Formats: sequence, C-alpha cells, structure tokens
Amino acid sequence: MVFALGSCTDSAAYREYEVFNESAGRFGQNALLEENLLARLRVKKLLRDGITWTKPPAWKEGEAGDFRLAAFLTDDFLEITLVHFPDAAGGIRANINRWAGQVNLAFSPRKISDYINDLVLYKTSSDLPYILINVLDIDENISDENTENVLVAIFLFEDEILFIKMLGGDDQLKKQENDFLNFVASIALKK
Amino acid sequence: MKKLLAWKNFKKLADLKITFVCLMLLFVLTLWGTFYQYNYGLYAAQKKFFHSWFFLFLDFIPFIGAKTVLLVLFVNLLAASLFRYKFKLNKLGILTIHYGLLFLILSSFYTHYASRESVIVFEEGEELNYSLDYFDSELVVYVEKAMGIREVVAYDFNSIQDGEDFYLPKFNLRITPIYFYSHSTPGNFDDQAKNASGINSLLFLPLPKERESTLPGGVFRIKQAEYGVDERILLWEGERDALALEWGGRTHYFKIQRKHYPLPFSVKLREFEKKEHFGTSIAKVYQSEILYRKGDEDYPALIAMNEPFRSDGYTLFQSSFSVDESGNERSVLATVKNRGYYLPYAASLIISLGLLIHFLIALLKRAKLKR
Repeated sequence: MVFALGSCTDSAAYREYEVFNESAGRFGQNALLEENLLARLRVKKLLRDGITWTKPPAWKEGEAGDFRLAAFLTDDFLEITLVHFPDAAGGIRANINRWAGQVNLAFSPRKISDYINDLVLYKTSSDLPYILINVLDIDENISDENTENVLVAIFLFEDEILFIKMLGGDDQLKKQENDFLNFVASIALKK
Repeated sequence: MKKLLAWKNFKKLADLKITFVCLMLLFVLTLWGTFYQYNYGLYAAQKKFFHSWFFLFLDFIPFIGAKTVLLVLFVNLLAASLFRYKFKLNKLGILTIHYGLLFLILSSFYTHYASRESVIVFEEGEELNYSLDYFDSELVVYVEKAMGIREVVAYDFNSIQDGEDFYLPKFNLRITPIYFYSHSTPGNFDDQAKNASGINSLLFLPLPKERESTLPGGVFRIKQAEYGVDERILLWEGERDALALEWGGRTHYFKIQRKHYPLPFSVKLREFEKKEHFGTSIAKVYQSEILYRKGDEDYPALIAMNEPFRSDGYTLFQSSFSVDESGNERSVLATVKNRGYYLPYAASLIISLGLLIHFLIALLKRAKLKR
C-alpha cells in the first residue's frame, strides 16, 4: 500500500507550468518588480470613502489641505503628513527619487531596484497592506554620512495612493519611529 | 508442515526482545543523529541516520539505519498485534495503541517515499519560484510572458521513446526524435540541425557514476502544422542558451534542462553567510537569509543547517553551497515536498485514543475491584 501510494507523484510525461524567467529571477524583476509590487499593494477600496487612525497622544494636529488629508506635529517639531494623489503618483521608484532629493541624496537605479525588490508587504491591524520606505536604508554606504532622512508608508487604493511621510533629522526620526509605526498600523477604512 | 513452520517463525517475530533491541537502536540512532546534526546540519543527519537502510561509520564500519530498524519494528508490532493480543474488550486500548504505532510507521514510510526531493540553487539577490530535479531532465518549449513570467510546456526526457512522436498540445507541436542520448557530448560531423550554440552533432557517452552529471541531448524534428513549421533541431543540456524559433508572431524557445518544479511561493536569497573552521576552508556554518513571498504575503526567514523553513507542505533545508569560477557563492537548498504530512498526526491521534481507552479500562477495573 505504501509503495502504491508512493507512486502517486506528479511525474507525468507532459506538463505545463509557469515560472520566473532568468532575468526576473536573477535581477529581482527590476522594472517588472514595481508593477508586481503595486498590484499586490492595491486594495479594491476607495480612499475617498474615508479612513480612520489612532493618533499617538504626544502628536498635535496640524493643517490639512487639498492633497493633504491630515498633518501632525511632534514635540520636537517633526511633521507627519498624510498626502494622497491620483492613481500611483508616478510609481514607487519615481517617488523614492523625489524623497531622496528632498534630503539631498541620489541613488543609482540598481540600488533602488534592489531596495524595491527587498521591500516587505506589511498589514495594518485592519488588514490593509502597505510598504515602508526608509530612504537611508537604500544605500548603506551613504547612511553613515547623512543626518536627514525620510520615512514613508505607502498605501494604494483603487484610484489613489496615500503617503504617510515623516521627514527630518535621522536621530529625531528614530525617536519617533515607534509612534509612527503604530500610527501607520492603526490606519483602517471607515465602516 | 513447511507452512506450519513458517507460521511458527512468524509468531517468533512477536518476541519482546526484538522490540527492545529495536527501541534501543532507535534511541542510539536518534542520539547519534542529534550530535551529528550539530556539526553537519539537519539535512545531512536525516540522510545518514534516518533515510538509510545501512550507513558506514568512519567510512568503513557498517551500521544499521533507521529504515531497517523501523521495518523490523513494524513486522514485530504486526506479529504482536496478531498473536500476542487476542481481541478482547479489555485489550482494546493496547490493540489500538499497537495499530496506531503500525500506522505511524507505515505513514512514515509513505511520507518518505512519496515526498519529492529537488533543489534550489541561487545567488544573493536572486529570486526563484521553482526548484530543480537532481537527476531528471525535460525537453521544454516556452514563451516569455509579461512580468518576467515564462510559460513552459515540458516533456519528460525519460519518456521519449525511440521512433515515437510526441505531441505538445499547448503549441500544437509534434516532435519526432531522430536520435537522442541520456548522456552525450558535442560531436564534429554536421547533422544539419538548427542549434543555439553552434553544435553540429552529438555523440553518445556512457552514463557517468554521478547521475547528476548526465547531459542528455538529441536531434529532433519539430512540426507545427498551423504555421507550416518543419525544422530539424539539436538540443543538448550543456547549452546555456535556448534555441529560438519564430511562428505566429511569437518567439518559441527550445531547451533541454533539469526538470523544473513550480513552487506555490517564491524565495529570494537576501544574504548567504558561510563561516569556516579557523585556519581552514572547511565550512563550519552556512545559512541563508531569505525573503518568502506568496500572493500578498511576504516575510523574511532564516534557513540554517539545523533550522529548515517549512511552508505550504514544503520543507527547505540548507543542504550545501557552491562557489563558481568567478568566486560567486550560491546557496543550495534541498527542497522536499511532503506528501501525506498529516498522516503521522492522524497516527498520533489513534495512539492517544488507545492510551485513553487503556487508562479508562484500567480505571474501571480498579473501581470494580474496590467495590
């Protein structure tokens, strides 16, 4: 019986299957990668239906605006903004370049590809997927020299993208990191 | 008379001394395997002590493997269940435990033989969603789809028969083997066949001692009636490039490769670490930091010599590593697809049930005696 059961393998002569090709596997799916990541990040919900969050007690409400859904100020004057743009706002790569520019950094396309390829998809406590970008993590060689940094959580909805961004001195960011992560994890869709 | 003698002998197999020796041997093997695992990793320990009938201690002293011990124990338990314990209600617990143990051994053999072992070989930064067969090859025709995905039609090389066409329905392709070898090398005479690497012909080679070193190849005639394709092609597993043929506005690639097994997830090697014994080039520790990805789920994990990674019915072991000519390190993960992995759990349930029945019966007996 054991050997009869053991012969039930998928060793059929003819098979059809799909796998990564060599370049996708070896080079982390570079250009294709972003499309994949966005596809996995996107939720079939509308941001305009509203979202909720739990603000850390130490944060004070700042001013909202057209694209600015909300803003908060920390005790040490760091600003946390929730901004939304149509569709994917040019994609992850373009925005990483933009944020890097805001702290006077520039990365090679390969460094950004490697970084995107390593991104992990997280979920909020209400199961909304998001990714976290820490600009100084993109290139370890630069990290030691730079004092400014940007931390961004990205959510992608059916027709809009939401960035939760914190920009400032790296030491300040590290102090606020836990509050920031808890805040991001508290994001939920309005019921 | 002979039959009677055989029957009597079978009864002897129920001897408790056999059970004791088997259990002691299992104890020794488990202990030995645990110490061995510390230096050589879980995968190597499993192979040597538990997946073998016999193995060589110090490379020349034969010692019994766990498979042999378990087979003897299985026969011993079966004989005991048949002859030692006659079915009575008060023996129900004991019998259930015995049958549970028999089922456990049987299911272990099943999971061992039904599991499929393959390998993932990748370098840092590489992400794969398939594993490779150690030995067997396949003739594949594939097209490249968007998003870096390859759509593959594969025909098992071992199933190719002399003078027999085979048909690949996905591409409406009929392939006739002109000649093919399980192990071959490029030859000098011109075989008038299209090839991706400028190989003119193939020569037969006897099979090598190491089965994983075989390089199958052959010359085939391919026909695609719809687009009037009729070509003579040469494919050899030693080639790096696939042969490209165009029809119907698409490029179709032909290749002979190690069998690919798609995985229900992908693994990316983030970092491979190898530590050597001081003053030598002998590896002491090697481990892979991977990123597991499946659908919208992904998380990092560590696969070390004694820490396999388990997911979706698969177990990935850090089995070894390789270094190519350019000095690039590659991590080698043995990939085991476990079939029937739930069977040992079911067996454990039966054994637990047997224990429960046995204790209940004992409790009832004691209560009866007190009265």
